[in-house]
Amino acid sequence: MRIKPFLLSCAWLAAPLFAQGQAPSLRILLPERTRLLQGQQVDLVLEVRNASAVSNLKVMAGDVDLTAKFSRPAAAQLDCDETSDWVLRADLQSFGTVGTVKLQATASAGGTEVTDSRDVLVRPFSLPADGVRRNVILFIGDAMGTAYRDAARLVSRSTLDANGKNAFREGFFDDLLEMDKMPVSGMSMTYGSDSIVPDSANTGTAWASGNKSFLNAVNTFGDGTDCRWRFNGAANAANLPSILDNPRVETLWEYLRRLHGYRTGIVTTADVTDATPAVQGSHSGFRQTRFEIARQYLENPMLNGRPAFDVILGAGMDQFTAAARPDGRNLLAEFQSRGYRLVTTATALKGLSYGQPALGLFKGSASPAPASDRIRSAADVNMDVAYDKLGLARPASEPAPSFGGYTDQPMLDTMTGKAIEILSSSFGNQPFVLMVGFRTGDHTGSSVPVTAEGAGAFLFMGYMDQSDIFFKMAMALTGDTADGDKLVELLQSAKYPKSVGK
Amino acid sequence: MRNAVICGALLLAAPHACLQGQTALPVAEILRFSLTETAAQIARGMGQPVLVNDTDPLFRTWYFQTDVLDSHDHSHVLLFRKSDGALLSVTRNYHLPVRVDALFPEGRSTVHYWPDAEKPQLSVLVREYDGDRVLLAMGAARRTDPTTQVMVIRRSALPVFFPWLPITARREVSSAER
Repeated sequence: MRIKPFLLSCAWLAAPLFAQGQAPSLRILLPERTRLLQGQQVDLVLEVRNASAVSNLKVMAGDVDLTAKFSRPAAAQLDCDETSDWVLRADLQSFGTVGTVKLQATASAGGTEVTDSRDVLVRPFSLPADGVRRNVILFIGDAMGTAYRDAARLVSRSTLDANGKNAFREGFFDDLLEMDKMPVSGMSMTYGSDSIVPDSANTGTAWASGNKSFLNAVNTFGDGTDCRWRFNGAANAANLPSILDNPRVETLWEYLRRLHGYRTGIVTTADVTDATPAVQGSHSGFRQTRFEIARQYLENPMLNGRPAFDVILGAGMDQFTAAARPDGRNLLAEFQSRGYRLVTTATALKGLSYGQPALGLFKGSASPAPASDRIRSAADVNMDVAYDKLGLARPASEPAPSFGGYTDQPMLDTMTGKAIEILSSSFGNQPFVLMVGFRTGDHTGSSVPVTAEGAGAFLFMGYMDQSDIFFKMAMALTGDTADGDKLVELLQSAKYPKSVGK
Repeated sequence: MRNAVICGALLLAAPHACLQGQTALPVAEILRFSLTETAAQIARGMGQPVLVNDTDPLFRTWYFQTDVLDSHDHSHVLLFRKSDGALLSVTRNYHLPVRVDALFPEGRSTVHYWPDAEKPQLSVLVREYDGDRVLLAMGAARRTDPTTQVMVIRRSALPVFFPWLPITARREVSSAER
């Protein structure tokens, strides 16, 4: 008896408050400037608004008819209004034709013909025919603008004066930071599709997938159900279906792993499900869906359910535990059942060898539990900073570090070296792509420096968009192989192969 | 400095609380939003938001950071409807869980589960206030459960944003609440 009046009152209040224009429309959920590599997967999603029914769908990608790839129209509530809307999906599609592909969708929406189109730029990708394979290491100083870099140089490279104190000597440094010594420098513009000051999620989406997106998005584009959670802070378990239905785009890590047998890894001093590492191998409308991101590391949607990475090193144990996860899954055990070695201390990490995949989680909370929103753990646990790991005394004005029982945490260089060792020692001698991230502090609207060395480093000169980094990394893998042998030598001797750093 | 900012922010909604120097429960601050404030009033009280999301055709979001949170969440998320500028909801995020039982008196609060009480994936503690306001404590299944998110939202917006909450969009005000 109560349901009917409830629905009536909802319609009475909500319809005039939230409904927008009534004309039927069709929208392809791809950005205006969609750019993909040849064969890179993307979800093609169509939204039809204000239509009693949808029929006569026709979707063409150039001369290729994609209509049969699409699902039947599914009724949907888009834009948080009360109009009759529909969604049609063709998940995990790709384009084989290089160049600008005209994606054209047409349908009958309640008797009215509606249409939309996108120009998708598809860029070629093929590895060198001579079999030489390059590796990529992407170092990310999370939010590390020039000021942080200058501060690091001043603190660590200032020379001693006559009194034994750090000081300038006529404004020069005797030595520079390693990143300062890389032969190529550029600047990256990090703006998101909706934000001058972006966050790690949409800036990471740009370098990982080659496309821009909105604040907090991890390799996904916006859609009509975002209004349920994106603008009001109500991103929680009840809204997960609306958070996870956004169109997904494949990352370079997934692409190289799926099509070219690359081994993949992420190393971070943060929670491994934080946005910066997450963008290499997961997809979500909201970066804080940490439980889902951890699940996708194990069951990656672009890789037909295979794990996203061979090596995962960092903090954030809680997101993997049955105690914290509402689904009760013990992802630590599930990774181990798939052949991963689980390590939780620096000592155990140093003991790892050879190419067997590894999951290293070096910090968690004492009592893992879900957060109020039930999409992440209550504690966002990062590794302790190097200063504390070295046991240096903090000033009395600062709180003492709390290791919480995780006293044997590896340093970033140890994790990086071990990740390279594992990734480069596979039986198949496969190439690898690795992200190494470390936290600094704030978000900024400023461009950030990019430095590079190795084959293809010249690509990173000058100003570039953040999403260009994706294509430049890809181009560096496909180009001239004249110095390929040198790459291998450098890898073996220095443990740091030709790298691409930001 | 931070207290001054918060007090300034709340002056427009609860002048008595600030002027008389009352020390309300920290979590009670959200109730000082009547949801009848205009954007201009909010800006006068809270200052400029640190972030504005203006990309949606129907809604505009203002984000404020008046608390110490990690860099990914904002302390206050204010949702405005573009068509008439109405403030639809205010979401308050806390870095550490807070107790909210003082805001949810026994007998005047209810708990709801999504998708159902048998296998709940999310619980919400609900108190219906006078007028068009409803108070939500996300993730709380009992009055004494701590939470990191409290929201005050217009009752009329509930069917849109929380369609699974069995709360009618219109409600008569009881004599005790008048």
